[in-house]
Amino acid sequence: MSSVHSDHNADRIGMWLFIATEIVLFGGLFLMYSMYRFKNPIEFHTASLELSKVMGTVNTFILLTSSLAVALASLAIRKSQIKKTMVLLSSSVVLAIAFIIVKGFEWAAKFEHGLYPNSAILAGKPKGEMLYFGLYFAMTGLHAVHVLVGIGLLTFVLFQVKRNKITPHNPGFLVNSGLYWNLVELIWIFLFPLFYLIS
Amino acid sequence: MSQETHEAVPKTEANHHETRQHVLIWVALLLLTLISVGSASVIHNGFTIIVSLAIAAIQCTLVLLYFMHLRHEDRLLVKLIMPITMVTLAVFIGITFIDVISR
Repeated sequence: MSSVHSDHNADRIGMWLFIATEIVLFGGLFLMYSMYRFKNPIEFHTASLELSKVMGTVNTFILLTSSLAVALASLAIRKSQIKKTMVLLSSSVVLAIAFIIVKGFEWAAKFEHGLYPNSAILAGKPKGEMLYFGLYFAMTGLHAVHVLVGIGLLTFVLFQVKRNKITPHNPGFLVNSGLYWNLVELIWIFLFPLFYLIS
Repeated sequence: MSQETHEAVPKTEANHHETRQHVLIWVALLLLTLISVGSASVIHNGFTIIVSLAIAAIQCTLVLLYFMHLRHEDRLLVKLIMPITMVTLAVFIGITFIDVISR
């Protein structure tokens, strides 16, 4: 009995430590962003005009809703509502895919305008704008990788619930995956204003 | 295997309350996003970023406390991991800024 209990605690502590390392990873990028922005305020402002505030807001809503679905799934599994848990997990995966699709359209538009790292058009622009787009692709790119991992993880969790491997008495893996997914949301909460709302 | 973990037995009423609370927090998060976008198109000076970062910090706190259940966390160690990380990051950014500004 006691070993089950301590395992549960260790899982949670380990997950939170992992989340801390993720925040420090993105923190380094945020640090770089703030220094370059401090040095090139006008260029950052001009460059951010290229981003669509509407698409950014839509994606924020999508991710917030997806986070809610996972948080509710963690509650539902404890209530032994297996079906509800699966519906919630599926909708969070669908929303995550929608986020990636919107992101894909945004990136495609940038590439069409010749705004990608090392492009001729970007090379002709001021240094500050090059830095802005470099950071934009690096930071939203790393975030998108996390979203892709999240899609895989949540799909796996969904099948584990279906196969009765994750149960109301043993929801740890679902809860920890939910924590990961909310972390991905947390990072986006800061990326969104820094890139989309500074024009 | 399953008979051991009595702590996982659901408290249905509390849980129902929590579901409603989660939905309310979600509405608050959406509204805060709209306020952030709105203020960015109204305010056109240095305050824009301060306002939207303050809103982001509020959203971040709400997600941590409710969606990530830190509100119900009873282990001090787990409670402290996030504040310690944030303070460390603030120190990194603060000290780097002092260096960049005073150069």
